[in-house]
Amino acid sequence: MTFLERVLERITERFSEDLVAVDRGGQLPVLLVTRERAVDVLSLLRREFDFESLMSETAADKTDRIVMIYHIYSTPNRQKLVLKADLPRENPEIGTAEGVWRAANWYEREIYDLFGVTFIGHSDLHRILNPPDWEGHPLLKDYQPAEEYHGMEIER
Amino acid sequence: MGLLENRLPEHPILTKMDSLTLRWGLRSSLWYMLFATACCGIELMQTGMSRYDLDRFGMLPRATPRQSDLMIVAGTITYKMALRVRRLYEQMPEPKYVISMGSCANSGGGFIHSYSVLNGIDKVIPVDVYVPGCPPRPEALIEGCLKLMEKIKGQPRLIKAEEASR
Repeated sequence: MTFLERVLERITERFSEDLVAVDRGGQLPVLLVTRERAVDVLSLLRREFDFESLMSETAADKTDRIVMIYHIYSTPNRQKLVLKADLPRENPEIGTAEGVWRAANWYEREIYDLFGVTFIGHSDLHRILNPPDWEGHPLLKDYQPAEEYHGMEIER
Repeated sequence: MGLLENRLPEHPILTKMDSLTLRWGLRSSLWYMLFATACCGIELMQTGMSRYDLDRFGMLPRATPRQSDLMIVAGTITYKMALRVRRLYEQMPEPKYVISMGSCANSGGGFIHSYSVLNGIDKVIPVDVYVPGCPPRPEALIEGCLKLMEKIKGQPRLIKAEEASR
């Protein structure tokens, strides 16, 4: 059994109800999980399967929902994996992955800044790219900038 | 020149010579503040280095606005950065000049539709010379600097009239 197959078998056995889908069709295997269990899945992957590298954590606004996307990598096993979790737009909250990978700290600050997703348990959640007194979350599809910022007209 | 004008208002030769000398001195030794935010900064650095050499015009880089005559705004300016650029400009002593280098500083450039990019540095500070390009070649930046030197040569006074009244 390959490493990936072992991983998928273990995840399916441990998180049967929360594992919504497994997509082996694309370039990378994608696991779609519920948002309540996303951090537990990530934690298990790190502890038991040596996914020591969080390559990237990002989000996408799919109009009816916001998707959290995690790309993780296991160096000893040379395996990349993608984890996705859907968040409802009215209440985009999810647990923080900071306890699993410290790198998630800045990734989650960026996602908070640009999408407005709040990360429960994050140690230091505030804007990282935009100025601290910026209004709105720019990468949401329905974002409208304010008229001006400190006397400068915001033009698009 | 402003300094001596108030003390010798009526003396025709001294004020004229003084103004000429000071203008010549200023345009032959424009010390520019090393201010770069993005890719144009690389070209600015290269223009100051040996192949294109700004030093032969008397132009040296200074790290602080307090010691510079010229600010070459090289790179994209976001709204966040624009507040700082304004502050740095205000920290430069008179007489001071600004060259806007590259599309982003001129007008927002390729990022003109972005929510976070200021569409042209002339919205926050007064600009004397615009150098187009993305990035402008070092020769183009040098031409911009030479244009500025001609502009200084043509000025009757060193302190710009509208600023002297502020």
